Amino acid sequence: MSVFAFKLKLSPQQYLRIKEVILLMIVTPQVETFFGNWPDKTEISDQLHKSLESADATFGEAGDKSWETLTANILKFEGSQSSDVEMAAVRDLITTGLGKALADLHPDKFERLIKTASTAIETYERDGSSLLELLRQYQG
Amino acid sequence: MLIDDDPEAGASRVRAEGEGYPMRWRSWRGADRSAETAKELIHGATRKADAVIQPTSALVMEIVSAGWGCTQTLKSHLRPSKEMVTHPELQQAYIFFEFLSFFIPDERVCL
Repeated sequence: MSVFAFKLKLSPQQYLRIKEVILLMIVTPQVETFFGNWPDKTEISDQLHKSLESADATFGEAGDKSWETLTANILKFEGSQSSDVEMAAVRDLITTGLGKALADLHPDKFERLIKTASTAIETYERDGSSLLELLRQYQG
Repeated sequence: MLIDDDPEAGASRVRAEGEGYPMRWRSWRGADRSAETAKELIHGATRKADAVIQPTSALVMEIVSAGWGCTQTLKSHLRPSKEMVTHPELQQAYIFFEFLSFFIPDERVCL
Protein backbone atom coordinates (compact mmCIF):
# COMPACT_ATOMS: atom_id res chain seq x y z
CA MET A 1 0.00 0.00 0.00
CA SER A 2 1.72 3.11 -1.13
CA VAL A 3 -0.32 5.77 0.62
CA PHE A 4 1.65 5.09 3.80
CA ALA A 5 5.22 6.28 4.07
CA PHE A 6 6.70 3.15 5.60
CA LYS A 7 9.56 3.45 8.01
CA LEU A 8 10.17 -0.29 7.98
CA LYS A 9 13.37 -1.54 6.51
CA LEU A 10 12.73 -5.13 5.60
CA SER A 11 15.28 -6.82 3.41
CA PRO A 12 14.03 -7.64 -0.10
CA GLN A 13 13.98 -11.33 0.92
CA GLN A 14 11.91 -10.58 4.02
CA TYR A 15 9.53 -8.50 1.93
CA LEU A 16 9.11 -11.16 -0.76
CA ARG A 17 8.60 -13.85 1.89
CA ILE A 18 5.91 -11.94 3.78
CA LYS A 19 4.22 -10.95 0.55
CA GLU A 20 4.04 -14.55 -0.66
CA VAL A 21 2.68 -15.66 2.72
CA ILE A 22 0.00 -12.94 2.55
CA LEU A 23 -0.96 -13.97 -0.99
CA LEU A 24 -1.23 -17.63 -0.04
CA MET A 25 -3.37 -16.77 2.96
CA ILE A 26 -5.65 -14.53 0.90
CA VAL A 27 -6.11 -16.21 -2.48
CA THR A 28 -7.56 -19.64 -1.69
CA PRO A 29 -10.04 -18.52 1.01
CA GLN A 30 -11.29 -15.59 -1.09
CA VAL A 31 -11.68 -17.65 -4.25
CA GLU A 32 -13.56 -20.25 -2.17
CA THR A 33 -15.80 -17.50 -0.80
CA PHE A 34 -16.74 -15.98 -4.15
CA PHE A 35 -16.38 -18.92 -6.52
CA GLY A 36 -17.02 -21.84 -4.17
CA ASN A 37 -19.32 -23.69 -6.56
CA TRP A 38 -17.33 -23.12 -9.74
CA PRO A 39 -16.10 -26.42 -11.17
CA ASP A 40 -12.56 -25.23 -11.86
CA LYS A 41 -11.12 -22.54 -9.62
CA THR A 42 -7.51 -22.91 -10.71
CA GLU A 43 -7.66 -20.20 -13.37
CA ILE A 44 -9.38 -17.64 -11.15
CA SER A 45 -6.94 -18.45 -8.32
CA ASP A 46 -3.99 -17.94 -10.65
CA GLN A 47 -5.47 -14.67 -11.94
CA LEU A 48 -6.05 -13.32 -8.45
CA HIS A 49 -2.58 -14.41 -7.35
CA LYS A 50 -0.98 -12.65 -10.34
CA SER A 51 -3.10 -9.55 -9.83
CA LEU A 52 -2.15 -9.28 -6.15
CA GLU A 53 1.46 -10.12 -6.90
CA SER A 54 1.68 -7.29 -9.42
CA ALA A 55 0.07 -4.80 -7.03
CA ASP A 56 3.52 -3.26 -6.68
CA ALA A 57 3.60 -2.44 -10.35
CA THR A 58 0.06 -1.10 -10.26
CA PHE A 59 0.04 0.90 -7.05
CA GLY A 60 3.57 0.99 -5.69
CA GLU A 61 4.95 2.67 -8.76
CA ALA A 62 1.96 5.00 -8.96
CA GLY A 63 3.21 6.55 -5.70
CA ASP A 64 1.08 9.51 -4.69
CA LYS A 65 -1.25 8.82 -7.59
CA SER A 66 -2.08 5.30 -6.38
CA TRP A 67 -5.43 6.55 -5.10
CA GLU A 68 -6.37 7.80 -8.57
CA THR A 69 -5.17 4.57 -10.15
CA LEU A 70 -7.35 2.57 -7.78
CA THR A 71 -10.38 4.77 -8.50
CA ALA A 72 -9.88 4.42 -12.26
CA ASN A 73 -9.53 0.62 -11.96
CA ILE A 74 -12.70 0.33 -9.90
CA LEU A 75 -14.71 2.56 -12.21
CA LYS A 76 -13.92 0.10 -15.01
CA PHE A 77 -16.10 -2.43 -13.19
CA GLU A 78 -18.95 0.04 -12.76
CA GLY A 79 -21.82 -0.45 -15.22
CA SER A 80 -20.98 1.31 -18.46
CA GLN A 81 -24.51 2.79 -18.63
CA SER A 82 -23.90 4.83 -15.50
CA SER A 83 -24.24 8.57 -15.92
CA ASP A 84 -21.47 11.02 -15.16
CA VAL A 85 -23.29 11.98 -11.96
CA GLU A 86 -23.42 8.36 -10.84
CA MET A 87 -19.76 7.88 -11.70
CA ALA A 88 -18.92 10.98 -9.65
CA ALA A 89 -20.93 9.57 -6.73
CA VAL A 90 -19.03 6.27 -6.94
CA ARG A 91 -15.78 8.20 -7.09
CA ASP A 92 -16.75 10.07 -3.90
CA LEU A 93 -17.69 6.80 -2.21
CA ILE A 94 -14.33 5.28 -3.05
CA THR A 95 -12.70 8.27 -1.39
CA THR A 96 -15.01 7.95 1.63
CA GLY A 97 -14.45 4.19 1.93
CA LEU A 98 -10.70 4.52 1.59
CA GLY A 99 -10.57 7.39 4.06
CA LYS A 100 -12.40 5.30 6.66
CA ALA A 101 -10.32 2.18 5.96
CA LEU A 102 -7.06 4.11 6.21
CA ALA A 103 -8.18 5.74 9.43
CA ASP A 104 -8.90 2.30 10.90
CA LEU A 105 -5.71 0.86 9.48
CA HIS A 106 -3.38 3.43 10.96
CA PRO A 107 0.15 3.50 9.44
CA ASP A 108 1.79 2.70 12.81
CA LYS A 109 -0.57 -0.19 13.39
CA PHE A 110 -0.03 -1.53 9.88
CA GLU A 111 3.74 -1.26 10.20
CA ARG A 112 3.65 -3.01 13.54
CA LEU A 113 1.58 -5.85 12.07
CA ILE A 114 4.00 -6.26 9.16
CA LYS A 115 7.02 -6.19 11.42
CA THR A 116 5.54 -8.69 13.90
CA ALA A 117 4.50 -11.06 11.10
CA SER A 118 7.92 -10.79 9.45
CA THR A 119 9.72 -11.54 12.73
CA ALA A 120 7.39 -14.50 13.38
CA ILE A 121 8.11 -15.92 9.90
CA GLU A 122 11.85 -15.56 10.45
CA THR A 123 11.65 -17.26 13.84
CA TYR A 124 9.56 -20.07 12.40
CA GLU A 125 11.98 -20.68 9.53
CA ARG A 126 15.15 -20.42 11.61
CA ASP A 127 15.44 -24.21 11.87
CA GLY A 128 14.88 -24.75 8.15
CA SER A 129 11.08 -25.06 8.33
CA SER A 130 9.14 -23.42 5.51
CA LEU A 131 5.95 -21.54 6.27
CA LEU A 132 5.06 -21.44 2.57
CA GLU A 133 5.36 -25.22 2.47
CA LEU A 134 3.16 -25.53 5.56
CA LEU A 135 0.49 -23.28 4.03
CA ARG A 136 0.61 -25.09 0.69
CA GLN A 137 0.24 -28.46 2.40
CA TYR A 138 -2.65 -27.13 4.46
CA GLN A 139 -4.41 -25.74 1.39
CA GLY A 140 -3.58 -28.61 -0.94
CA MET B 1 12.01 -75.40 22.19
CA LEU B 2 13.65 -72.01 22.53
CA ILE B 3 15.89 -70.82 25.31
CA ASP B 4 15.23 -67.20 26.22
CA ASP B 5 18.08 -65.64 28.16
CA ASP B 6 16.91 -63.10 30.67
CA PRO B 7 19.87 -61.12 31.95
CA GLU B 8 17.62 -58.95 34.15
CA ALA B 9 16.34 -61.96 36.04
CA GLY B 10 19.73 -63.66 35.81
CA ALA B 11 18.17 -66.82 34.48
CA SER B 12 17.09 -68.54 31.35
CA ARG B 13 13.59 -69.71 30.73
CA VAL B 14 11.99 -71.94 28.19
CA ARG B 15 9.84 -70.05 25.72
CA ALA B 16 7.14 -71.97 23.92
CA GLU B 17 7.01 -72.05 20.15
CA GLY B 18 5.21 -68.94 18.85
CA GLU B 19 5.08 -67.28 22.25
CA GLY B 20 7.07 -64.22 21.24
CA TYR B 21 9.08 -62.01 23.49
CA PRO B 22 7.49 -60.69 26.67
CA MET B 23 7.66 -56.93 27.25
CA ARG B 24 9.93 -56.07 30.13
CA TRP B 25 9.67 -52.99 32.33
CA ARG B 26 12.26 -51.26 30.19
CA SER B 27 10.17 -51.72 27.05
CA TRP B 28 7.07 -50.42 28.79
CA ARG B 29 8.97 -47.44 30.05
CA GLY B 30 10.36 -46.93 26.54
CA ALA B 31 6.89 -47.19 25.03
CA ASP B 32 5.56 -44.57 27.43
CA ARG B 33 8.48 -42.35 26.73
CA SER B 34 7.86 -42.60 22.96
CA ALA B 35 4.24 -41.63 23.45
CA GLU B 36 5.29 -38.73 25.66
CA THR B 37 7.93 -37.67 23.17
CA ALA B 38 5.37 -37.78 20.35
CA LYS B 39 2.97 -35.68 22.44
CA GLU B 40 5.72 -33.19 23.23
CA LEU B 41 6.71 -33.01 19.56
CA ILE B 42 3.11 -32.43 18.46
CA HIS B 43 2.61 -29.86 21.21
CA GLY B 44 5.86 -28.10 20.25
CA ALA B 45 4.99 -28.10 16.54
CA THR B 46 1.49 -26.78 17.27
CA ARG B 47 2.89 -24.03 19.48
CA LYS B 48 5.45 -23.14 16.83
CA ALA B 49 2.80 -23.05 14.08
CA ASP B 50 0.46 -20.97 16.26
CA ALA B 51 3.28 -18.53 16.96
CA VAL B 52 3.62 -17.76 13.25
CA ILE B 53 0.02 -18.21 12.09
CA GLN B 54 -1.41 -15.82 14.70
CA PRO B 55 0.57 -12.70 13.66
CA THR B 56 0.41 -13.43 9.92
CA SER B 57 -3.35 -14.02 10.18
CA ALA B 58 -3.73 -10.74 12.08
CA LEU B 59 -2.02 -8.88 9.22
CA VAL B 60 -4.05 -10.68 6.54
CA MET B 61 -7.24 -10.01 8.49
CA GLU B 62 -6.53 -6.27 8.51
CA ILE B 63 -5.91 -6.24 4.75
CA VAL B 64 -9.06 -8.25 3.98
CA SER B 65 -11.19 -6.19 6.39
CA ALA B 66 -9.98 -2.92 4.87
CA GLY B 67 -10.73 -4.18 1.33
CA TRP B 68 -14.09 -5.58 2.33
CA GLY B 69 -15.09 -2.39 4.16
CA CYS B 70 -14.35 -0.30 1.06
CA THR B 71 -16.28 -2.74 -1.16
CA GLN B 72 -19.31 -2.60 1.14
CA THR B 73 -19.27 1.20 1.01
CA LEU B 74 -19.70 1.00 -2.77
CA LYS B 75 -21.95 -2.05 -3.01
CA SER B 76 -25.39 -0.44 -2.96
CA HIS B 77 -24.33 2.28 -5.41
CA LEU B 78 -22.97 0.07 -8.15
CA ARG B 79 -24.85 -0.37 -11.40
CA PRO B 80 -24.80 -3.90 -12.79
CA SER B 81 -22.08 -4.28 -15.37
CA LYS B 82 -23.18 -5.51 -18.81
CA GLU B 83 -19.99 -7.53 -19.15
CA MET B 84 -20.90 -9.50 -16.04
CA VAL B 85 -24.58 -9.97 -16.69
CA THR B 86 -24.38 -13.78 -16.39
CA HIS B 87 -22.40 -13.60 -13.15
CA PRO B 88 -23.29 -10.31 -11.40
CA GLU B 89 -21.45 -11.42 -8.26
CA LEU B 90 -18.22 -11.04 -10.23
CA GLN B 91 -18.52 -7.26 -10.14
CA GLN B 92 -18.34 -7.19 -6.35
CA ALA B 93 -15.60 -9.84 -6.31
CA TYR B 94 -13.41 -7.96 -8.81
CA ILE B 95 -13.87 -4.66 -6.98
CA PHE B 96 -12.99 -6.36 -3.71
CA PHE B 97 -9.88 -7.90 -5.29
CA GLU B 98 -8.91 -4.48 -6.61
CA PHE B 99 -9.11 -3.06 -3.08
CA LEU B 100 -7.13 -6.02 -1.78
CA SER B 101 -4.36 -5.24 -4.30
CA PHE B 102 -4.32 -1.70 -2.99
CA PHE B 103 -3.87 -2.81 0.61
CA ILE B 104 -1.13 -5.38 -0.05
CA PRO B 105 2.13 -3.91 1.31
CA ASP B 106 4.31 -2.73 -1.56
CA GLU B 107 8.07 -2.85 -1.82
CA ARG B 108 8.47 0.51 -0.11
CA VAL B 109 8.44 -1.43 3.18
CA CYS B 110 11.99 -2.48 2.41
CA LEU B 111 13.34 0.86 1.27
